[in-house]
Amino acid sequence: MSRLGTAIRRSHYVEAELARTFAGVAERHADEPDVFHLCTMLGEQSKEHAARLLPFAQRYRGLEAGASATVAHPTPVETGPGSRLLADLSHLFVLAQECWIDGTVVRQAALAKRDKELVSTISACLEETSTQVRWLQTRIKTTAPQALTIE
Amino acid sequence: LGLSHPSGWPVFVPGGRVFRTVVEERIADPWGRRTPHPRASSWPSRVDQHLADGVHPDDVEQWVQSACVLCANGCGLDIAVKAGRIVGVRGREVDRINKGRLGPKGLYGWQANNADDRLVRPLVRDGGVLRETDWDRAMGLVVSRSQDLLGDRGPGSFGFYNSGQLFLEDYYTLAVMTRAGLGTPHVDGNTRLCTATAGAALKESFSSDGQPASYVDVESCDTLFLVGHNVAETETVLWMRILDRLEGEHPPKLVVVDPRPTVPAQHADVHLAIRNGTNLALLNALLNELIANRWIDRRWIDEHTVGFAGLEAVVSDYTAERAAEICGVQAEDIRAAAKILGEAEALLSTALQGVYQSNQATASACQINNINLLRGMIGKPGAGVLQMNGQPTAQNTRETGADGDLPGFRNWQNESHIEELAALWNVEPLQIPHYGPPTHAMQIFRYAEEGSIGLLWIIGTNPAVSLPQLGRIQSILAREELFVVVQDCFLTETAGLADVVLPSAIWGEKTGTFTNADRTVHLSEQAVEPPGVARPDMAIFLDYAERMGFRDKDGAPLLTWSTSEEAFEAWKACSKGRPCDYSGLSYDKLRGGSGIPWPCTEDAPDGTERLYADGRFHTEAGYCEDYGHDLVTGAANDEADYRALNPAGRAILKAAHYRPPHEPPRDDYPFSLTTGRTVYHFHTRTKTGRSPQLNAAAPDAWVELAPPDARRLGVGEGDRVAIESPRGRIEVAARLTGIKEGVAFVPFHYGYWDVDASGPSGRPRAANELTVTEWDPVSKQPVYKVAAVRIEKIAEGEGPAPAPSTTASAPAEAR
Repeated sequence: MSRLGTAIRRSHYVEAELARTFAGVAERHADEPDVFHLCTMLGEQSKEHAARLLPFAQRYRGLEAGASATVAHPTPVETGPGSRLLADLSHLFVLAQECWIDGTVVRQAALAKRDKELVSTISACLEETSTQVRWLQTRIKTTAPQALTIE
Repeated sequence: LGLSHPSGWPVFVPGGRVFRTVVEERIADPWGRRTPHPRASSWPSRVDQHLADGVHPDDVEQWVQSACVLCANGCGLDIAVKAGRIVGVRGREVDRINKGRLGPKGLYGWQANNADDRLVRPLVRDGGVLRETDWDRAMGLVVSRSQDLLGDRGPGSFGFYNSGQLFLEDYYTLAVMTRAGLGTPHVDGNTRLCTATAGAALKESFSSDGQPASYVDVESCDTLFLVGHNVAETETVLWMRILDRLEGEHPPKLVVVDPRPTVPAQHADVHLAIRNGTNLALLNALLNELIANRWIDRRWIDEHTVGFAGLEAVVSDYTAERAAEICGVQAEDIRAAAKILGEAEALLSTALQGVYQSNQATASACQINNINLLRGMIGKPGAGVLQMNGQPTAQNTRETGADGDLPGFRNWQNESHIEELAALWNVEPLQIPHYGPPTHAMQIFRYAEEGSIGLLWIIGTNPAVSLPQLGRIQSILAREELFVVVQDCFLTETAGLADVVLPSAIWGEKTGTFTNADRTVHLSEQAVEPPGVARPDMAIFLDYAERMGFRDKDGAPLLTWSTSEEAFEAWKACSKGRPCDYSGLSYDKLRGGSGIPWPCTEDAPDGTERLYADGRFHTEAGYCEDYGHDLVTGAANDEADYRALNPAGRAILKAAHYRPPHEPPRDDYPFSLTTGRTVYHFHTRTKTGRSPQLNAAAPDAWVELAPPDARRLGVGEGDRVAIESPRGRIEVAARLTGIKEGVAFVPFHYGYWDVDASGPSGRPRAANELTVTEWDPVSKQPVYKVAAVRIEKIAEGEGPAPAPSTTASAPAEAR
C-alpha cells in the first residue's frame, strides 16, 4: 500500500460519486433540457475519469477509501420553483470542487514521482473538471435569482 | 418563364387543382432577369416595381423612402402611396444592398398592410372571449396587473418576448424600459430562433458581435462557401447578386453544404449533402485538410490569432474518411471542397439556419470563422465571413439589448460598462440587472411554465406557431395564472390566447430605422396612417412607462424621448464608442441616398464597409462584449480566464469535438426531420399569407422525401402522410425531391390562423408540433433541424403536393 495510491483511490471514488450525482440530477430535472443533457454528458465524463484513475490506484496499491467527505445532500427547505434545482446544482458544485482538489493533490504527487502517464491522465481529467465547475457556476448564477427572489 | 416551371411542372397547385392561370413574374422566377458582370466590377442596377392592379405609375401621389422588412437583406425601396393607402413598392436604385431589385416577398408582401383583418382596436379577455375596448381600459388593465406583480413578487416575475420585426427605436425604448424601468433580466427576441448563434459565434471568435464582411464582398470574392445557407430562398436579392457573379466573367467557385438540393447547391462546384446535425464533423475535417495541406497563412495566424495549437489538436482527429462516415458524404468530395477553400484567393464564407438551428450550432459557426482566420481572409475585399441573420431587424435586437444582451454590445460582467449605462440613463448601476447571462426565450417560457413569471408580454411574434414543441407552448400560454399581453398587427394564433391584445402600427405606418445583416442602416419613413387606433410599438412602450411612473434617480421621467428621431439620437449616444457606433448617422443623412453601414462616426462619416480591415479585433479585455464560453457546455469564462488567454486584439480560435445529435433516427422513429423556409413566405405567414400572390404560390404545408424512402413507404407525389415525433403529429402532402435519403423536410410557416384560427384541432400541419425542446449550450438557439420522426401514408393524393417547384422543393423528376 502507498499513500499516493490511497489518494488516487479517493479521487476515483469522488469522481464515481460525482458521476452518479450528475446522472441523478439529470433524471430529476429532465424538464430542464439543458440540465438534463449536460448533466448526462458530464456524468459520463466523470464516470470515465473514475475508470481511468482506477488502474493507477491499483498500481500504487491504494487502500480502500470511504465515501466522499462532502456533506450529505442537503434537503431544500424552500419548495418554490427552481429551489430544488438550485440545491442540486450547488451540491454538484461542491462535489466537483472536491474532485478538483483531490485531483490536484494526485497531480502534485504524480509530478514529484515523475509519473508521466499519471500526470497526463490526471491533467486531462482536471481540465474537464474545471469546465464542469465553470458550467455549474454559470447555471447556478442563472438559477439563483429566480429561485430565491420570486415569492 | 410564364405559366409554369421550365420542367413543365405547375408552379403551384392549391387544393390539388392544377393552377395554370396568371402567374406573377417574380413568383414564377423569384430572382428575375440577370445582369452578369465580371469580378471586381460593380453590381449593375435593375429596378423592380410592383403596383396594385389598376394603378398606373402616374397615379402614385407619393413615393416614401423605406426598406423591406421581409428578410435579413433589408433592400432599399420606396413605398407608393395613393389616397392615403399603400399601392405598391419600387426598389431603390441608389441603395447599396439591392441596386433597385426586390424579391417576391418585397414585391408582394406589402399588401398585408391593407388586409381587412388588421387589428384596429385593443382587445381584452372578458368572460373567456376577446372583446374590443379602448386604449385606456386595455393599458389600465396591463398596468394594474403589473403594479400588483411588481409589489407582490418583484421584477423577476415579468417576461418580455419580442421580435425581429420592430424598428431600432422600438427596441431601444423596450430595452431601457425593461432594464432601467422594471428591472427584469427576462427580455429576449424571437431573434433567439434565427440569429442568436450568429451573434454568439462572433462573440466567441472576435469577443464582440458585429458582421465582419460586407455584401460588396460578393463582387470581389473568388470563392463562396455557403454552409446551411439556402440564400436563394432566405435572401433572394443576395442570391441575385451572387448569380450575377456566377453568370459573369471569372465567376467565383461555389461550395455548398446542405442536405437539400437547394438552388445554390445546383450551382455548386461541390455540394456536400450531409446528414442534418453533423456540421461540426465536416467543418473539423475541412480545417484538418487546410492545416495538413498547409493551405493556411501561418504568419498571419501567429500575428492575429490565439488558440491555434488547441484547434489543431482537436481537428487532427477528423480525417476526411471519418467525417465522410459521420456526415454520409464521400471523402473525396470533402477533400475537393477543402482544396477549393484552400486555394481561394478571396474567400467569402456564409452561414445560416442549417448551422444556427442545428446540433452544436455555435461550435460549428465558430469553425466557419476559423476557416477564414486560418487563411488570413478576413477584413479584406472579397475575403470575410457573413454570419447571416434570419430577420430584417434582428441586428437591432442584438445592438440595443432587446435580445437580453446589454445595449451597445456591452459586457454584463464588466462593471465599468454597467456604469456607462447607468450614467446614460441616470439610474443606479444596481437598478440594471447584470448578475447573470441574459434569460433566453426558452428559459422565459420555462419560468412561465413553472409559474415564477406571472406576466408575459409578447410583441410582434407568434410563439404559438414558431417555438418548438407547440403542444407545450400552447399549454403554457393558456395557463390561468399567466397574464399574457400580445402586441401585434393581426390576431395571430398567439394573440388568440392573450388576456390583452394591443394593436400595433407596422412598417409603412411609422418612422424609424433598422439594420440589415451587413450592418447597413436604413431609414423607413411613415407613408400612411395606421388603421383604426393602432399605435407604433415605441408609443405603446412610452405610454406604459409613463403609466408605471418609471423615473430616473432624480425623479425625472426615465424615458426622455417621445419621437422616433429623439429615440434615435438617444441610441446614438448609447452606441458611441462601441463597435456598433451610430454617432455619425442622423435621419437627415439617411434620407435620399443609400443605406449606410455602421460603425459611422466622425472619423468614418460614410460608414464602414468591413470590420477588422486592420487585422485587429475587439478583444481587449476592457472593451470586449463577452469573455467567451466553453463551446461544449456553454460554461461562461470570467474576466480572469479571459485575461489569462490574453487575446489583446487578436481573434480567438476555438474548437470542439463533434457529438452526435441528442435525437438521432431510431427504429421506431427512423427519419431525421429538418424544418425551414420557402422563398414565398416569412415566419408564420402573418404578412405573407395575406398577400394573394405569395399565398397562392405556397398555400399549404408539405413534407419533402427522397424517392427511395417514399418507395419504401409506398408514398407517391401528393399522397397525404402522417408524420409523428415523440411530441406530436402532423398531416401533410408528400413532395418527392432530391433531398438526402433518411431526411424529411417540413416548412415551418404554416399554423392555423387561416384554417381554424386557434390550434391543430382539425388537421395539424405546423412543423413545430414535432420539434424538440432543446437549445445550443452557448447561443441558446433552439434545435429545429434535428428530430426523429416516423412517417406513414394516410391517403392517396389528388395531384402534386402544394409545394413550389421553383426552389429546393422542386420535384425530383423535374431535375
